[in-house]
Amino acid sequence: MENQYTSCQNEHNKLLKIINFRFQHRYKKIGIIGGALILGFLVIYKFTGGDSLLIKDVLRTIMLLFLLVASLSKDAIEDEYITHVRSQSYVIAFICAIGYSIALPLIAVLFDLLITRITGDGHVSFHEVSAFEVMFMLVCFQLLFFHTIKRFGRAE
Amino acid sequence: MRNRLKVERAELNITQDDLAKKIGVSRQTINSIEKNRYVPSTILALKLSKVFDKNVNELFILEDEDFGTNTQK
Repeated sequence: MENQYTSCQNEHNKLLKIINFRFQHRYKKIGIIGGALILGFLVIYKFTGGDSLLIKDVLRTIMLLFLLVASLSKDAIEDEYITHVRSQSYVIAFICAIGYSIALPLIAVLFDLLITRITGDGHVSFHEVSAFEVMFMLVCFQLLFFHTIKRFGRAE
Repeated sequence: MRNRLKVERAELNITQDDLAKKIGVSRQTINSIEKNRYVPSTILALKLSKVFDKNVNELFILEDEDFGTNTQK
């Protein structure tokens, strides 16, 4: 019985270590700047006619990694309020990302229907939300909500 | 739940920043507690009670509505 309790506690401790893991504060800037640079590069690559899927996939993955590092980095003063704000931002981001993946295809279909009805031309297609899109929105929503909720605490 | 943090701080004549430094948190944490936007942990509440030399019960006061929030139906 005691062994079972100890192994349960060990697992809990390991899980807590993973949950509480944070990068140093300086990695936040690196993550955001790196992510923004790659996003800029991806936009330029798209508009200059680049169509290599491999390059796009590699750059997207690296961008997600940069943004994840920014998301997991400590704040300048990391206290319990910041931890609370961070967990709130993850919850809202999770809900928003699911809402996005449900709403976007519906909006696209409605838009197609509208265009088809107005012009009498074209076809209705179903926009499939990719895993990258959902992950990107999730991490962007998290960073956005984290800074927004934190700002509420700063207001007098 | 309401708190008397702002009043106690005024009595000691210290700023949010001073108080934050004393208990090792950020100023926005103190501001959020004062505005009732954030309920501090027991550790933080005890640190605050030590700074103001008051019981936690004197700093944080439960209100009637706090007794009915977690009732399961």
